[in-house]
Amino acid sequence: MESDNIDIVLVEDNPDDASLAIRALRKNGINNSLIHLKDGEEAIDFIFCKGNYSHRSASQLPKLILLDLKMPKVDGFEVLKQVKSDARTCRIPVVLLTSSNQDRDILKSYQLGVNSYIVKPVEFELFVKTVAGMGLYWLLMNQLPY
Amino acid sequence: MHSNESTNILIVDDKANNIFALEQILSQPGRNIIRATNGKEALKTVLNTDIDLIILDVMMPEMDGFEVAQILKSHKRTREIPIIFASAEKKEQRFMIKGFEEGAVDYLYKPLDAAITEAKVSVLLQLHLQKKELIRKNLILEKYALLINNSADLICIINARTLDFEEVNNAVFPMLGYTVDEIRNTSLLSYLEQDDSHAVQRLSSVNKEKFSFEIRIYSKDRAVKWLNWNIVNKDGCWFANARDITQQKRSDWEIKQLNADLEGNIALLEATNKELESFSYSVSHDLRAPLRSINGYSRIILEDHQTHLNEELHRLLGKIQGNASRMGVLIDNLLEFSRLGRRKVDKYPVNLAELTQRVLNDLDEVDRGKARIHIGSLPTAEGDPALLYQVIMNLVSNAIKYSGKKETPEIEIGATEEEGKYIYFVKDNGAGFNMDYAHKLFGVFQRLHDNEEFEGTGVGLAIVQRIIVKHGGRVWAEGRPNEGATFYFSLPRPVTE
Repeated sequence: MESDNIDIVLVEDNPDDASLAIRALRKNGINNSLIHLKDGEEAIDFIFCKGNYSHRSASQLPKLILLDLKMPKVDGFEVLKQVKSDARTCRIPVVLLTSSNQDRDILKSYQLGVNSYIVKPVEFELFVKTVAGMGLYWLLMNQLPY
Repeated sequence: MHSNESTNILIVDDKANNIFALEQILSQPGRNIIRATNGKEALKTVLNTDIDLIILDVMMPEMDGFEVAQILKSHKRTREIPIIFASAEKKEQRFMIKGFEEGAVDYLYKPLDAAITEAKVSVLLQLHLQKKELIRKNLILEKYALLINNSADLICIINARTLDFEEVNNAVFPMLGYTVDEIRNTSLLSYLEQDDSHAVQRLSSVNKEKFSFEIRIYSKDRAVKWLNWNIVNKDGCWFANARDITQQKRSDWEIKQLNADLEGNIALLEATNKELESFSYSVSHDLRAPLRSINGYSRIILEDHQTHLNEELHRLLGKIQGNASRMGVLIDNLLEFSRLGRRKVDKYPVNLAELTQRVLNDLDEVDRGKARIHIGSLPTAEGDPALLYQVIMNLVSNAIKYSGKKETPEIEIGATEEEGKYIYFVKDNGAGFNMDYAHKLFGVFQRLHDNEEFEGTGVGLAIVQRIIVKHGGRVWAEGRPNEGATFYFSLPRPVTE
């Protein structure tokens, strides 16, 4: 499985949203390695090298986790909490990419240590711009501590 | 007995030496001897003085002893005074005295024997004083009885062992419908529910000196009365006072019921709020995603299959995208509207003039178009600055929008004052509306113009109304088709002014 050397972890239960996001990134020249995980449980398995991803090398930290909030089984908050409260993973930038613009979701995310909170615009053009801009910022402009 | 009070003894005799002889015999500390030498004088003395005993000579000129006695016995005030007749002739007097056998009457024979005289006097005096004391006590008892029977509380004496009513006051009739005779000698327990009956029996067996309890008691018509009992337990009797607290109990119960209802309503309200919250959450989250997909895939067709598309397909895809975007805006507005419903209104003094200026500054050139906006004097009101900003913003944006097609759009913002409130208005010379539909203006998603003519979602005025109502004010509008519209909202005047 091509789960090594992953730069972008996209955690998104809606396959349409996922494919639109990936398209937006690719169309804007962000060709970094990317894995699409379908829920929070899979995300935790991947990040902490458990279950299907137990063979993955934990020392390889992704450059960015793109996280949806509302997902079956384990939601985005839980993933965020586990990533940010573990010394091995807390430095990975986590960007919430969600449809929710509820104040309490935004507040809770920041309390859990999110690096950025982005509401997915409904309009596709705006969505493409937003995802592309976000990708460029975190993958090209941002300096990582690892 | 009133031993410290002296007793008055009246001696009536026409011969001074007889009086003197009696004085010698009866004279004692605490005895006050009064003399009268004829019947008339005797009667006068008795009327004016409180006399405890009369020694009456039978043989006197003018009015003899029997005549005097008859008069005294015929008057209520003097009837009870004991009389000792003094007479020389034993035989006759015995016969004459017959008429006075009732009441305290005795006789002495002359010459007087000192010992017998003193003995008779002291016995009659004693009897009389005891009687007086008894009358006094009875008077007091009568007063108490009046007090007790006048009480609205049930006052009674209950046998502490059998729990039978021994004595009971008149209150028992209005309270329980039983007469005093009906309830006397019946057991308290026979009027009680079983559990209350057990409770009372337990109290009876504990035999405390003083206690109180509340029980239900059945009245004669089988109605239940709540009585609060206070008992003093003495000499095998309960001296009991029972107060009817039925009304109080009922009120307590009603209050409890009301509180329970209220709590239920609050719980319901909270549940409804939660439901609403989760509803708006899923609206915001779940409804957006498919919209984005509709938008996105239309876009992908446009981008990736350019060569296969003719102009008509372009136009149709544009329609799909446009409608998806519009639905997104509708969802946003609806969510904002529902969020407002739950928002708490914080009240501060708000300078409406400054606020309006800020709204105008925040509207950029493009938004304002060519409209000429005139601001009159706007008094400071009390309200939530952020919410009132929203009100002004929505009303002014509307005015700009609906007057935008005029040659010279003009907008006037002003205020008037009415009793206890300020009325603010935003007036334009735009498209106006038919007053027949004025009631629809402030409904959610209600629009009087189609989207081709004027863009909008029909939430702006609903938001205005919701905010103003939350501030204790009112919104309304006046207009005529093509002759402009005026939107009014009122706010209560700040109390501090």
